[in-house]
Amino acid sequence: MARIRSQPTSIVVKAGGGLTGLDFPGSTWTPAGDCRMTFSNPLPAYPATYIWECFPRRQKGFYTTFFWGPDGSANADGFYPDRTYYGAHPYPQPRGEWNAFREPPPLRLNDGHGWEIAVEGGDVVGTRVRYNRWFIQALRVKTLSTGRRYHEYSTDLVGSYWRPGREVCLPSLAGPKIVYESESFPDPPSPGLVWGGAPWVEARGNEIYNGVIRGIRIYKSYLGDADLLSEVCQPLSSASGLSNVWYWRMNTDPANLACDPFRGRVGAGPLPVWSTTRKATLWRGQ
Amino acid sequence: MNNMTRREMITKVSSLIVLVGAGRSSATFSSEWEIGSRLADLTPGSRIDLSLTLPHDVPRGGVFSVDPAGPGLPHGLSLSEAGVLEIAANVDCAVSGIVFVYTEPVRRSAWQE
Repeated sequence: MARIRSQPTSIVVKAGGGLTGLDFPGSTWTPAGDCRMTFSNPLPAYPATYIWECFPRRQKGFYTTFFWGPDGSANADGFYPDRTYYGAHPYPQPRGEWNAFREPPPLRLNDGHGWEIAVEGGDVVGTRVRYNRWFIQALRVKTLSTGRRYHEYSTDLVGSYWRPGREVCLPSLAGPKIVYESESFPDPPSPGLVWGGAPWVEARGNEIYNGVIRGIRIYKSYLGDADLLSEVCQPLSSASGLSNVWYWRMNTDPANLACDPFRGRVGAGPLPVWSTTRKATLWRGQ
Repeated sequence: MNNMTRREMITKVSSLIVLVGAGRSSATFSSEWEIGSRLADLTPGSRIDLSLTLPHDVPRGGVFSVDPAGPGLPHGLSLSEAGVLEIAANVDCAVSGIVFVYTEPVRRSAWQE
């Protein structure tokens, strides 16, 4: 009589039913203002793995999916290019000038966007952003043996067939990715992990994500390929993911940003807050 | 023993094998199967049939359970032996690392038919 077992599985039941997410309004909302979700005591910058689901809508100009970096106004504009920061977002690109390497050309009205790693005072742009479809994306970062910092942004881990709640989920690392090594910099004076809007003063309110972000999973390690793929469709299904998760919440909800439970969580886990009274709105799936 | 028919003997031997199998530790499994993300967004008051997640080559009709070595089902969730996971109304929970166990049905030989 044979016995088989399932791989470790996560069960999430959401009262009120269905899927939820954070619907960020974009930079042109009125009245203009800041909108960002902030972890004021973030995990160390390196190593780390971030996985999230997103549905970008088109807007002119900049987006912020998330930044690990300076949060505050310790100098004139709060931006420190010579301190540790990184982020992963759509980045404005004029037509016909994709893959520009850290030399962003001037913006025009009909610009599109390329996926980007923001790091080391520059913008490393990869493939073109497609709007109005769902993505599962991941950013993995670590310190190399040389002391330099390695960043890898996988921009489409499951393909266009996927949407939240769909049972078919076939993750692959064969899709587009952006890889960049940077110098190593000291941490900024008051680091934060900020989602949906840029933290530095001059950018606040001008780089707000336009679209939905949900399914946020943050790990305090650089997950290997197999573990990453396991975590993409089934959070906390790998031993490494389970032992290194720092924060996760699949059904993100602007009114309740609490970390979902996991074995070994300390207290209630990290709790992000809205930096101003303005929040993303609640997205509800089908 | 001498009075046993061959059929009776095979039946008794099969029962012994079943008993030996039942006494194995919970850590003995022939393989693993993947449920995927089906349980990551459940709705209160709903039910999901885990037997639909089994690999095609696994015989149906067995018994489902939760591995006691890991976390148990959250309050408000129940699992039938047939594999139906039922979620009570007004449940709001999240738990990770649950391992489901499926025990295949006893294979009956032609002698036992």
